[in-house]
Amino acid sequence: MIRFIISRLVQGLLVVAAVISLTYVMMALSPGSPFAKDRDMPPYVKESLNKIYGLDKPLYVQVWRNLKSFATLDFPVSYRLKGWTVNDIIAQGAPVSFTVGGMAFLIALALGIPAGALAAMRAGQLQDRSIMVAATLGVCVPSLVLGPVIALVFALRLHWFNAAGWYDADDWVLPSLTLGLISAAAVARLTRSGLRESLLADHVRTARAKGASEWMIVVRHAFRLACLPLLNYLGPLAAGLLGGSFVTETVFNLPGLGRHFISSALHKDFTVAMGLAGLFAVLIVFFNLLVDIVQAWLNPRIRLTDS
Amino acid sequence: MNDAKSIANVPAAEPVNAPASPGPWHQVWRRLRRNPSAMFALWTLSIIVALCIGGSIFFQQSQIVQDLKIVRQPPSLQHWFGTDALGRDVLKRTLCGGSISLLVGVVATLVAVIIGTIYGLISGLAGKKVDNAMMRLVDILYGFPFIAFVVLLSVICGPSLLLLFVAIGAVEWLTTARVVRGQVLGLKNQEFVLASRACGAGLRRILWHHLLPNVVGPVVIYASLTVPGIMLLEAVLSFLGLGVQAPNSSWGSLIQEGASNMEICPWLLAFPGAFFVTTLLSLNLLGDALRDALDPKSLQ
Repeated sequence: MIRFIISRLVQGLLVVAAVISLTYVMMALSPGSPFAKDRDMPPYVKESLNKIYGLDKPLYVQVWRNLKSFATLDFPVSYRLKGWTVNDIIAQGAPVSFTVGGMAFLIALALGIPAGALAAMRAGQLQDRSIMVAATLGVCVPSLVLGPVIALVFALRLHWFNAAGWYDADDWVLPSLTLGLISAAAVARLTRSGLRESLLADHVRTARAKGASEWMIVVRHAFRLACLPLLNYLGPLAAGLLGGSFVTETVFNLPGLGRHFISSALHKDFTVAMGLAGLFAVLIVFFNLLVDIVQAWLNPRIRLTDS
Repeated sequence: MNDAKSIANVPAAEPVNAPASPGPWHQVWRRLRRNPSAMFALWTLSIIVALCIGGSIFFQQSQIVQDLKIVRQPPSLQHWFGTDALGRDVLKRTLCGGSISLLVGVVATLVAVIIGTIYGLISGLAGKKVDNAMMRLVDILYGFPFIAFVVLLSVICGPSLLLLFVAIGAVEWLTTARVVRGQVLGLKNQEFVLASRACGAGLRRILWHHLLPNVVGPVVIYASLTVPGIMLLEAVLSFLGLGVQAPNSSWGSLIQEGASNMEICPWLLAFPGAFFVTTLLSLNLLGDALRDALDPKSLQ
């Protein structure tokens, strides 16, 4: 177990380092310069700027220098936002994205799992049909359609919340609802299909023969097995939600990590893009490891070996 | 595009060994035909595809013609879907945009499926060491923040749509590779493959006659579920202003225009959004139905 975790952590570190380097190389190969302004600057200014930020060195030297600065937590400065280091930008965007994403994740679980369980228990009946129709629709309505519709209804018509921005304490509600509803649909589908299969398992039949109530069977016996495929979905979902949704943050004009990433990519802010891509990779690696550990804990037949 | 129909055509194009009994694809087609949601999806999809292709042929020029006298008109008899902020017909723009969205979905999926199938075949056929290394690489790539890389790629590729297809396809092949490898590992030691090998069949014959035909099913299922995912990705990019460039349109960029004007002219969001959602829904329903039809064990 310990060996498994350590080897996965080492592998994860390699992934993060690869993501950071690849981001840098991709940015460096793309046309344009982080210092480009509306006005052409004299070549000697450009030269000295490149020198200050180390852009005149060969590519591998630049990559190595940045990797080293991330590894020693001595974060590099942003090329565009004067006076900001990468960790300042993360510290500013992370609370927004983590709040919105975390609440969306909770909404997805709180809605999706009971709905999926109910559908599985009433398989073939009206409740099952209607839940599954709603879930299938939910999976297919993308956030770029649902977000504006939710903003239109709850903000512009009903005036319950702000339509955009990050000013009031309840500004997380609409974006979280957008992301949460969409994810809840997928969670409900996975819960249903997992439970349907595990409700037919032998140990569930034994529990039923002993006279356990149906909810007891689902909660105590069937769900443990049923949530294994669900967990595989929840890991990447959590990583994606916490990293900030590009679309939802744009629709609701939130100053989150996703927005920062897009503007850094567009404006060739190498270091910020690297830092954020690295953070996304850290989230993915962390949640995948967490999923593996929880799966092994839930089902002792899964053995954690790393080969 | 029309997945189920092309499946039905497979036996005709490639005669099966026992012509007397209907091939497995006939059975799949029969099961699909009995599934009402699959047929609904198939018809809806065919209609949308036909409309978009027809629309993009007839209206390619007129969809970008601006007429500032008829700005932001609600749906009427002249303009069924209304007009946008520059007086362009929303129906024409929705159809032309749709053909771009669909094209991106299909081309990028093809790229992804081809790369994934080749990778999976090699990994499944090669020895254990190569297989381990190749699958470890896939595991590692799964840890990459893909949407971030697609954003980066689209910034690098600029407005070149073709390059973008290839870029999206090139990052979406991982699951296909896993699926194909799993199939090949299961198949390559089965009796009929061993028998064929014992009869002196070479690698090429085994590949074409035994492995690939058996891999097609799962790959088709996976591909039909990949198309909506990739169309979504394209829509996200266009929504963020990184995909299709004006004056051209795709459903993503139309939805973005609609979202920024939704308070005064909701039809700008409603029509492209409805087309997009309906297409995604049909593709997903079709993919689910194909999975059920190809897997006799799957639960209803």
